[in-house]
Amino acid sequence: MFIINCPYCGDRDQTEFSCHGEAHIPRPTETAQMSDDAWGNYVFFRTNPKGYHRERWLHTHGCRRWFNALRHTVTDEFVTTYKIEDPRPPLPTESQTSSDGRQS
Amino acid sequence: MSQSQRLPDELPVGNSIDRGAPLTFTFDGRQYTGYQGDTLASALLANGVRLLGRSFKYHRPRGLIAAGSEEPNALVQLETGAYTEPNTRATSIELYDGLVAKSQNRWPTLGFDVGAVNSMVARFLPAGFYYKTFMWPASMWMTYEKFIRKAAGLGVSPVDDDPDVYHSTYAHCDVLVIGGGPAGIAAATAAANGSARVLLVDENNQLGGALLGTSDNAASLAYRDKALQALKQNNNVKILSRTTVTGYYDYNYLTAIEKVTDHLGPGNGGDAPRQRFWKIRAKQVVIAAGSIERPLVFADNDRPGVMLANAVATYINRYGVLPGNDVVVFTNNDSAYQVALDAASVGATVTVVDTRKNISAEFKASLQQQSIRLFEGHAISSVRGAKGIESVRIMGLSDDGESLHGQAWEIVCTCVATSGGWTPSCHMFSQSGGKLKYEESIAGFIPDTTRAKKSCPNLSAGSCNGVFTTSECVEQGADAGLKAAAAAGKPATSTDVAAFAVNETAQGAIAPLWLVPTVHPVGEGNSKHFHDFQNDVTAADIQLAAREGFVSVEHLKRYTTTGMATDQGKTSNLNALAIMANIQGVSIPEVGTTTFRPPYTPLTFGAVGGQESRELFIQERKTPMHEWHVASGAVFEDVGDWKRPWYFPQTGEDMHAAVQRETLAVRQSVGMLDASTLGKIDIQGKDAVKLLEMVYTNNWQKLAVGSCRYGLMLNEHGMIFDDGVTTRLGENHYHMTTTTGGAARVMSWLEEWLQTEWPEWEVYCTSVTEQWAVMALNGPNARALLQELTDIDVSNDSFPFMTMREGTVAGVPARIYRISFTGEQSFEINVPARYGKHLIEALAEAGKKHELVPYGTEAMHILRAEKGFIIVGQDTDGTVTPHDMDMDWIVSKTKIEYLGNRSQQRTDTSRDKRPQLIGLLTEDPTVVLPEGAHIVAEVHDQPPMPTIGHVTSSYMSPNAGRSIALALLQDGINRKGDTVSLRLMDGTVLQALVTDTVFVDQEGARVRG
Amino acid sequence: MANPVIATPLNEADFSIDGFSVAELDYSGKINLRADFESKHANQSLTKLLGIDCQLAPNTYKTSGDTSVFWLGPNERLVYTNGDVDAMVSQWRNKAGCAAVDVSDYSSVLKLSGPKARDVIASGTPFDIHPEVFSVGDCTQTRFGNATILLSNHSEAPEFQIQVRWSFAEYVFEYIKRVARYV
Ligand SMILES: [Zn+2]
Repeated sequence: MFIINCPYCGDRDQTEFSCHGEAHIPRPTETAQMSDDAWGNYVFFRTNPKGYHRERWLHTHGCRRWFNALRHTVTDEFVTTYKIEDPRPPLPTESQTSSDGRQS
Repeated sequence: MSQSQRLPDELPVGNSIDRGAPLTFTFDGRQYTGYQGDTLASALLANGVRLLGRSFKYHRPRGLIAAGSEEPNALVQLETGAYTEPNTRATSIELYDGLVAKSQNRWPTLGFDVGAVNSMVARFLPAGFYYKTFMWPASMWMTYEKFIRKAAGLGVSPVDDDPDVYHSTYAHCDVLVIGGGPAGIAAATAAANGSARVLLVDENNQLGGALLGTSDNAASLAYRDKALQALKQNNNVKILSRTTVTGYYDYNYLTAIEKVTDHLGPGNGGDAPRQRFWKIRAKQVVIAAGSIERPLVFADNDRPGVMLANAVATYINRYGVLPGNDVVVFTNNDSAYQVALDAASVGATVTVVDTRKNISAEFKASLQQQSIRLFEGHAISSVRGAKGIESVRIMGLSDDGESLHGQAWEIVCTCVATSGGWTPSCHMFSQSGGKLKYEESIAGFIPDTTRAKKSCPNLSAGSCNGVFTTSECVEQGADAGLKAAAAAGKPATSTDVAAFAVNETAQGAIAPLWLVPTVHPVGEGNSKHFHDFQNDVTAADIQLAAREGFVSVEHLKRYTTTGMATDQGKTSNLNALAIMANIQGVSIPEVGTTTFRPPYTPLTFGAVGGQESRELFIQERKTPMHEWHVASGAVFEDVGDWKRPWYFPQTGEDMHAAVQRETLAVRQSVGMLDASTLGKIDIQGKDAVKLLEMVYTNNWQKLAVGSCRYGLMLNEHGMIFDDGVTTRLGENHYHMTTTTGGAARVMSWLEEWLQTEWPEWEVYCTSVTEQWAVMALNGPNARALLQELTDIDVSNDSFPFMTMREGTVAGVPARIYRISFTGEQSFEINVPARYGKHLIEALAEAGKKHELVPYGTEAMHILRAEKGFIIVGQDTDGTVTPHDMDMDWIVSKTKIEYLGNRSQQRTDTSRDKRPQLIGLLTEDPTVVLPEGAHIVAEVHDQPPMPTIGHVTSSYMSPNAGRSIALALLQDGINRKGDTVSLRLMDGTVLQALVTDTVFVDQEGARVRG
Repeated sequence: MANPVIATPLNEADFSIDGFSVAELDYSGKINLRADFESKHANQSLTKLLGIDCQLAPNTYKTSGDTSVFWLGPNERLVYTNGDVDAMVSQWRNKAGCAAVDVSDYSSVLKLSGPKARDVIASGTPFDIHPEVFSVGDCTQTRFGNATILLSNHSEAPEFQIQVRWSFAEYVFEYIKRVARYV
């Protein structure tokens, strides 16, 4: 059971949140001109990595704000959480990864 | 004979029992006496009861092995009736007056067990036997399973409702200390020297751990008492006894079960819960869980009377019970010598059999003083006595430990105290993701590296970390406590932890001996070498697994089932690994360990559920009009979490009659429906209309202030996911309604888009679902009734269909929306929730002369189906587009961007012959199709038949005068006028005509009238 | 016509047990207020109206007279007031960049007091309410059982308030009554 740092409220129990999948997938503009493939990519395809993953969370039972998190899908380590408008944080380097005893 | 094995009061033993407080209890129908402070195990042992159960697979007689929660054998059925609980460990049950317990796994009696024939046919029951024999053919498994469960099953689950109550709660601390032995107490003391919030948890009824079971321990207990006294006076410290940490999860989330009133006996807890489930969040964890002694694996080492050495000491010292008058101590390490001395000092005849040679002179001298015989370099080769050990035979052991030689000695005994060394309890450390390392000097695994320093910070201290003297345990505990408090950001201000200054004997080296040989090779002859007692797994099973290629530790475990019983292999895992290592000729760490999984000890579902049982299991949401519905005799339906009136039966009416009456009344006079559960969202801001344009499929730019419009929401897959009516309240102000079940989903959908995709838009959404109580008036008399109660002119000219007016109703402020889900003249009256009760009472009173009828959700469903109005989630299922619903009229042809737009042109969504919504009229108008019935392309006697659609809604319609149905049918819109076949589950085939979806008032005149 | 009956979600029910009391409070005016409180201009004009600086630290509330302002989110506040809610709402609603909604009837407000109050609340919420991390003047939205609540700390005595949506009020009240006997 995670502790998740809401960028607005601080550390909270996982049960206050819900996860809505991969972050940073902007809705395309000019959708009428899009090919089926391009639209299909937007609607259906996600990266599903084994390793670091940027994902979108909602503080459902708290401030009801959406935010992004950088989480390792194997160790479940939350590297950081950040507001929607914040720039993407860099991925941790290898040496930081190995301190966790696992590889991505 | 009463308490024949209880030691006399004069001896300085039995510090946990109160001889002044005798208790009566019943085991297998016989009455016995014990004392306050006994466990069921110690009380039975005191009464000379050695045979406590039959083993799982071979039905071999079994007795106690341990004195703590690691006990694999002595599982009993505790109590009777609703209070009964299977598989409880006799060693963990505190005795109370009137306790009733039964042995398990035996029929008809413990002494004579029919299933014991399994033991004689053991060569047909090797490891993997069930997999090999019963898993094929798969269809027969159900038949075999019944037999196997009956013959082998452990205890019996209660069938009655649980009469107990349970509590679950959250707890937070800076430092959680698991285990209240010397290391744990020292850790808590050190950690609490500053401002850290410390939680100290121990599974025993009193703290002290290993100190409790040792002899001559007054000084040790005084040391403990002083430390505990100081902890209890510290407001930052909470001590939980009778509490076992059962699971260690991510981010230092740990669960524990506290046995609050179990020790008082059933029904004696008063208001207090039976058990409490703790959900603990700890910044830092100190694991001081102690260690568990391993049995030596020798021939027929499961005979009642063969016990762990420290258990023998514990029964003597804590409970004043001598497990046997003639004791053989069989060991490969020094720790058992004190046990021999303890037994001898209370009058037992003791023999020590040590697999090692060159025993220290100091030990030899102390044995001699007590006239204890010592056999060095010897081992037990066989035992006699099936239901209780009678004697052992010992022989010389070769230096490599592989064979026996020399003269055999027969030693009469009733108890074998065996020690194969100590296994640090790494369960919690391993559950937290930590990696173990093998420590040769103790022949056991100890904690190595933590997996996730960030998410599960912990430290191990004491014997679970591989140190075994009390002074070392105290030192390590204090150190860990200090470090943990500092890491939690609450460093200790002083570092005082009293040193443990009681004399201890130095311990020599262990000589590992994982499998004691016999005169036959292991696996031949009749004797069995058990390592896993509860699952009846022997060394021969491991050999078989190795021969058949199941050498990986995870395969070994599953193939032999070693370590998979309710004790999770606490006493057996290391022996199993070592035996496999020997067979393969590799080191123990090369074999590896299996993963420790929660729960550490079994726990009850009741405790996990806690208070969230019965009416608090799922939240029941109620509207402001709920009391009126109850008073009016409503039968309720669960809609999501809501309790909604389903129908209002009158005297003598069944559901069908009530629903038909209500449905008719709405179209003939007027009905009222509590619509408060509909989701309501207040939308404000200059960009509000941009949001509506994006989330609905139709146009919103030209909606006038005071007007309402129906809208359909799609997800980006192009599929319908909600619908509702939105009203423009002001220039930049809208009131959106959603389905009852979709309210939260729609709210979070709007917020997700606004916050993540269009943050620059100025739009604010606020849920107002419960701000308003809503009563929908439907039917030709609705207007006349409403006009009596309102200051608004509700004539058709001044208040047309799809508009909203504000004013008062029954003297309270109201918004009335003229929208309809029935196709009738309809007014949805919204009043602030505080007036909900007032509104429904006023309407009911004024409605009498208008033949007003309250109706429920079932009539509502029929009324809307008569008009072909869909219910999202009933007629749609997440794979349905507006076109599939024959609702092209609501999809804008002019606007370019809205959610789900592009998916309408995907190859799959735009293809021909998708399932489409149509009406169905059965050939026989009295037959109501079952919802979910399949429309088939061809009818066969037997499935399979190609399905071309299914019924989504189906009712007897009193207004159409016949049954009606809605269905999704491939290419349905083009098939109107066709007759189709439906095949029901019972084989009946029905014919139905494909029609339009509107069954009543096709012109739609009534709603605008 | 007779005066309309006004009902609260729990009809102002209360419950007491040794060391703990809970009671539903009567209605007060409640307004959900949305604005960019970081913007000096927006905040100043709201502050002037309320007499309370709306630029609150996250998860805190402020009280002045009979008015309180709770932080619900970075751009969301909840106002408790005995003033004219209709007038306040229409005044704010028409300000550029602001939104205001009357939510006076949306919820039930429970007052919990007595030495056992912390243990009662800890039975249902994963949020740590130790005074060291949740002191008087703090508030938070969190979970209690399966309900979302607004929890606020009003006194070291201790005294807490739980605000919960109308439809969940009975569930939360029954939950509190049940655990009060167990703690
Ligand atoms: Zn938050």
